Amino acid sequence: MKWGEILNEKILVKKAIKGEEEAFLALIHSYEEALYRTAISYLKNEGDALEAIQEVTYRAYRSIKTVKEPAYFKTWLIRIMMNYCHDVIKKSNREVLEESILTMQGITEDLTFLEVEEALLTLSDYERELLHLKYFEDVKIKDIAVMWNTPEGTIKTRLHKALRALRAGFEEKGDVKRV
Amino acid sequence: MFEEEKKKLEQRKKSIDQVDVSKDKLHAAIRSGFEKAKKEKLLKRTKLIKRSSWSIVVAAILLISFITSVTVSPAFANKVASIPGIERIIDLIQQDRGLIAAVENDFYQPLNLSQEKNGITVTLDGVIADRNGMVIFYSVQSKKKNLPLEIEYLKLIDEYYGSFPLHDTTFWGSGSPIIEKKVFSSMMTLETVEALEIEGDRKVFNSKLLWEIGLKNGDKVEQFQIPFKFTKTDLASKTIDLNKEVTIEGQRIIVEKVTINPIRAEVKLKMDPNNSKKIFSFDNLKFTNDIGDEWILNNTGTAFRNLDGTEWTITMQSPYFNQSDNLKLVFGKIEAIDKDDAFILIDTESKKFVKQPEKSLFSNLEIENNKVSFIMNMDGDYKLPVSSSFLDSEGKEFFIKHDFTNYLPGKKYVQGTLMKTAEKGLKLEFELPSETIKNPLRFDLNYYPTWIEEDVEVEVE
Repeated sequence: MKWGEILNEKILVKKAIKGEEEAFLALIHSYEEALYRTAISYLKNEGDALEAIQEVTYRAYRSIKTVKEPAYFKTWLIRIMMNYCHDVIKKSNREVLEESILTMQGITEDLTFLEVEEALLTLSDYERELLHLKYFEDVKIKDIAVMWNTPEGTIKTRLHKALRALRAGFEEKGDVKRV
Repeated sequence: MFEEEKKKLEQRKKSIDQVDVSKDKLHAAIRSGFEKAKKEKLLKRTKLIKRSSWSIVVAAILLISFITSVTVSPAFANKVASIPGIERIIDLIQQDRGLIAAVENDFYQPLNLSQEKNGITVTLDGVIADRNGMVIFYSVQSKKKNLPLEIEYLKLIDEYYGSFPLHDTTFWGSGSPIIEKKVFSSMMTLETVEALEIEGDRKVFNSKLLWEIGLKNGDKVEQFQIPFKFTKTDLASKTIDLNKEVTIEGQRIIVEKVTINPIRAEVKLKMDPNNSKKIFSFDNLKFTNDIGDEWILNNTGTAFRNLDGTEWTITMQSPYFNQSDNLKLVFGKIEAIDKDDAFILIDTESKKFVKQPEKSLFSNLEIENNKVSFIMNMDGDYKLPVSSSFLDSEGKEFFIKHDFTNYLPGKKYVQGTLMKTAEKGLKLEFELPSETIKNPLRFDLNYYPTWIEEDVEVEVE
């Protein structure tokens, strides 16, 4: 993002917090694809991901006043999405890979992909969230630290722990525990 | 370190990035989420407007009667001057003659216990307690940046039965009170507080309690817990057995009993099961005396009726400190409808109301894609006139579930929504059950704006 865009977004977020509907919608639309991909990465199929988009739009609008730092608006949205997805997965406890859109598009034939998915399932919600922010949304460790009000060093340690857990997940291949 | 893991995660991202998405579908999802949120906001806003305009009225009354009560009653003036924080309490009870009298008679126990968390301070201001129940006064102070806050729950816990609260009001999302002011005060009324502890083989009253409030700030619920002690009064309640029968437009009602405690009074009524009308509410019931004092329904409007609607228990402001030697119970307008008209029938095939009351509130019945909807013309009074469940002609019952419905085991549910319309009405929409049902579908009426009225008074004292 260019500086001008960042500035623009800050203004939009401030307007949205004040209750301007157009500003809110503009923001959601600018992140709709990011939200959708996050949803797909957790839920794996189109129907559930679209439902997630609907629910997250609803939740975001309801709690827009709680956005503390306009600069982190995107991550704020992504976190609402991740929270929602964790809940859905816990509630349904289903085999997420079956009948998934990814199967349809031939992606799950890729063995590495399957392996990563299964290893991710062995992680805690927290670890998964951290990996997602860092390696999916490309959020900087420094920013995660500010957002979570946690020292950078601690985030780094936790990130390492999450990667180690992921490695352990790979090594468990074939005998995957569901979390 | 972990280069391989990082690479695999990158690859995963790339795979997911390949997934196509239809912009139309995305936009439709966003639109419906947005609509849902807006509707809810609208509902909340109207509720708030109602509340705040009411508090303006209260404030106006307060300004006038505060001055008058101070001149009229020196006892009250002294109380006001001597108890810290009492102004907030007076604000809340101003329209309740019974509670004002309780304060005058030294029933208010100031506590002023506070807990602070993340810039939010919750204060248990004090209680008014009699032998049976109590009124708890509390305040929430917060910085502007924390607003709005939502009250998620209010609980009262006995120290020996911690897991089982004596009182629990949990708001399921939609009905929760919203705090938008930096200083907010409110009260909760408990008709009975059974705080007992076992001492040897007898139960004794336990005065140590824990009061809890959950405040939602954004997505997080912050819990505040304040332990407190209070004293119960020994003043006995007055129970007056009446068993007097009255007839209002042909409907026979027996006033069985009136129980008067210092903080609340209770009236027990019995309906004759052979009455031709179904009674929905006694909202205009009041006590009066010959010097013109009035005690109306308890402002939270608690009324319990048994399942068939023949027995009612109605809570009212208390005439315990009545300064006259007489007391009357006056009925006023009663909301009621002929039993034969106390339901509507919907035929989903002909898409028509097969039955609805004369001067019907119901219109715009639509049935499409297995979804039924109709509009109730409420004229701004948003009490839901129909039950939250319907029966098919074979007696199968289906409950309409909303976002925050608490599911009960063994019941059948269909998805539904209730929204406000632009014309001050309510629109109920629900899905037809997937199992086969037999027409017509029946909704019982819960409220209906038709009244009966006759000048009827019952001497109580």
